[in-house]
Amino acid sequence: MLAGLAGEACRQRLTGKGLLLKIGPFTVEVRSDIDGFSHLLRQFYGQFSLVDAPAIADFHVQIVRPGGVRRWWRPQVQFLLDGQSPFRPFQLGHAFPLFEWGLNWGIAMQAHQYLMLHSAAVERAGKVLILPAWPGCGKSTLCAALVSRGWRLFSDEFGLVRTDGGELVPLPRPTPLKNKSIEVIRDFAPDATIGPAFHGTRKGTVAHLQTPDASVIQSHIPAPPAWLVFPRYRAGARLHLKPIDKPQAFLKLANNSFNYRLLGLQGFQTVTRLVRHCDSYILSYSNLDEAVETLNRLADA
Amino acid sequence: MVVSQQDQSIPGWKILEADALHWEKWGEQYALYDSLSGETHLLPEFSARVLQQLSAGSVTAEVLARALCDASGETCKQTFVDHVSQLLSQLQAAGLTEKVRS
Amino acid sequence: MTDLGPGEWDLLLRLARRARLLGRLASIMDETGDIEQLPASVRDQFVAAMVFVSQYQRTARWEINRILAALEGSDVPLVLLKGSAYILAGLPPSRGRLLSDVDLLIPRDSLESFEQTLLAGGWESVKLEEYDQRYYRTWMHELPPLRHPERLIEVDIHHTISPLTSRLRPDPEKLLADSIPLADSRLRILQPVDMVLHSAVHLFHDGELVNGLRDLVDQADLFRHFGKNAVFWEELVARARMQGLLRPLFYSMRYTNRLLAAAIPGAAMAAAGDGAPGSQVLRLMDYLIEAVMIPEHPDIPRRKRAVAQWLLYVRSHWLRMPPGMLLQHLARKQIMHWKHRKATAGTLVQGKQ
Repeated sequence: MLAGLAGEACRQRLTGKGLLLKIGPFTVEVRSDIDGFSHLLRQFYGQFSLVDAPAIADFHVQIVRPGGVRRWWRPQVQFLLDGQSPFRPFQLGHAFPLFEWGLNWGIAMQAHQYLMLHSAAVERAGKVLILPAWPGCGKSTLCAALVSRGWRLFSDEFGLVRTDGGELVPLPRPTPLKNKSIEVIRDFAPDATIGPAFHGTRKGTVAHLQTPDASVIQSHIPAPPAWLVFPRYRAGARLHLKPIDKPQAFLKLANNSFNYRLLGLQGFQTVTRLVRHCDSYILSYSNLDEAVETLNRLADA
Repeated sequence: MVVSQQDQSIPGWKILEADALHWEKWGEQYALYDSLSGETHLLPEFSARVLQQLSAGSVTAEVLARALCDASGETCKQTFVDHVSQLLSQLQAAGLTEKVRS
Repeated sequence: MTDLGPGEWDLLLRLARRARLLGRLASIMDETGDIEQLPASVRDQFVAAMVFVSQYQRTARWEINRILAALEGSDVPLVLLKGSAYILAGLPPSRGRLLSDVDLLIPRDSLESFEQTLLAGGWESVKLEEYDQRYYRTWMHELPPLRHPERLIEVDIHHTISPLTSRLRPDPEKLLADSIPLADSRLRILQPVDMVLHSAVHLFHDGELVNGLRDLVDQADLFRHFGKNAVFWEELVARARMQGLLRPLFYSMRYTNRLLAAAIPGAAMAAAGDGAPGSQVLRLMDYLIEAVMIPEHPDIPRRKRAVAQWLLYVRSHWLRMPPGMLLQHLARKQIMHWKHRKATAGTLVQGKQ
């Protein structure tokens, strides 16, 4: 476990040969010359397993300060994936969110051994609830709420679906909460650990919810999908769990997936199988407690 | 439903490649994956039947319309034939059908 | 290969990805059936790479299908070049290939009507700066690329295989005249010797060499495939001589042999040697090619490589256009680059610090 490494040892590894972390099914090599980042990495990924070198890494990530004038004047941090920088740098203080978003990007670009849904996924009683994302749907907040009420976190961002067999594969990570959601979740789950707030990011203010230990410990255990619920948060909306027909669910899910088209026939077959095996709904809600309760009842039925 | 007649002077319609179409039925709708174009289509029953009929061999719009009418026991009106023609053209725009080359 | 250690696999995968050869590596392992015995992470990365390979091949084939549909009734001979040719003809370089564009060769006289037909069929000219548009049309050997908005793959239409301003002037009419039809007779490919020469010209005079390893691998593949026919080598040299392409052929033979251990018959190599540059230039080329073609370690970029890259970039443009024009072009490119940086610099400053 990363937490087993003392702070100084962690920092040294990051500036040297790098740390190899097991994150869901992926081995991620991380290097960094930034102290603040080392500290947060250890905080948020403390429960995650370290992998011994030498190992085959799926991603080689560097969180580093660029050279030149930006080293000292309005200092910045860069995300490198396998030595190449796909984005513009962030301000130095945002190293950790940059790591999180950068890793998401890397996964979406590369992990085509899976069908990747843009969705949250949580597990209860051995079955997975998939919450596909669309702008403003409140997926991350709802996901965070469910997880703090005992659901196992698979992911708040990626539904990783195996193309053989259709099981979802866990990829638990810190859940990013944005703007108002931060307070909402603090109220909803006062015992939950929420990390520092980063202001002025491209998505406003972001803070990360610590991944529950149990979700990390069980992250090697996949599970089949059973429910597909498209969340629709609207202030003041009445709670309504509306079943939708399968062709509709199929269409929505295919459009929701990151790599449906890329996967061709296999994408078609995987989404088809998923929709056949799941009950599909749209969930309109404004009250988090009610939403969670409704989904609990759905799972326990 | 076997369509055997073919009017040689009017170009027939065909699907591009028989093995390329993969079907899934959802109630009265059909999801179709076309492995040539990589496109996925959601089609109503009628369009699906037209395509599946074409998979059996190329036909003209008229012959196809007549066969569909016979199968449902209705008389075949010209408006229906025109409708089938139009559908075949729409399917052509979607890359699913093409005219037989002489 | 299956007895590599994890550290070696890790490096190999990274290098292959950078050299655009991951798909090829994956396909080879898949074909030999060894993929099941590989470590899980290697298998995953191979599977993911092959997803891209399938997608790109499907995309290229479909684009050609749509072009043929749009050309219905026209009798313009359509010669496929490079990746599309390898794929549709089932040639070895098609294995595990990641294409990006569809390249076509058509007679110069047919250019305008061809472009018009595609534009009418829904393709659009890829938006380029006005300067680049002029560069493409007047000096390069291509129209600006076309792209259909529903499909996004680029279609590059050529009427010759080397820029009009280059010193190399292979005769496109001969290429077309000696082209070979495919099973679908509306499509043609270059004859074997021309295919090799085109790849060599593209790599050593046209392309920017930096990511050229994959193109060199293509040439090695073609040498191995066509070279089984004894007559091929003589015809290759003769054709190169006639088309004034001995220099790129020489380079192709030399570097496929030196870097990829391609078996080039001594007589052919000697004959192509007539196209060799002076010994000083050759030494420089040996240095440059080795510096840029061999993929560098991803974590230890070499300064040497950066310099070599720059030299080769300048060289490739020098070969395409007279020096005066080159300076103008590079200066213009540099100004555009600065302007772009200035325009985007403002967005780097984020709110209050």
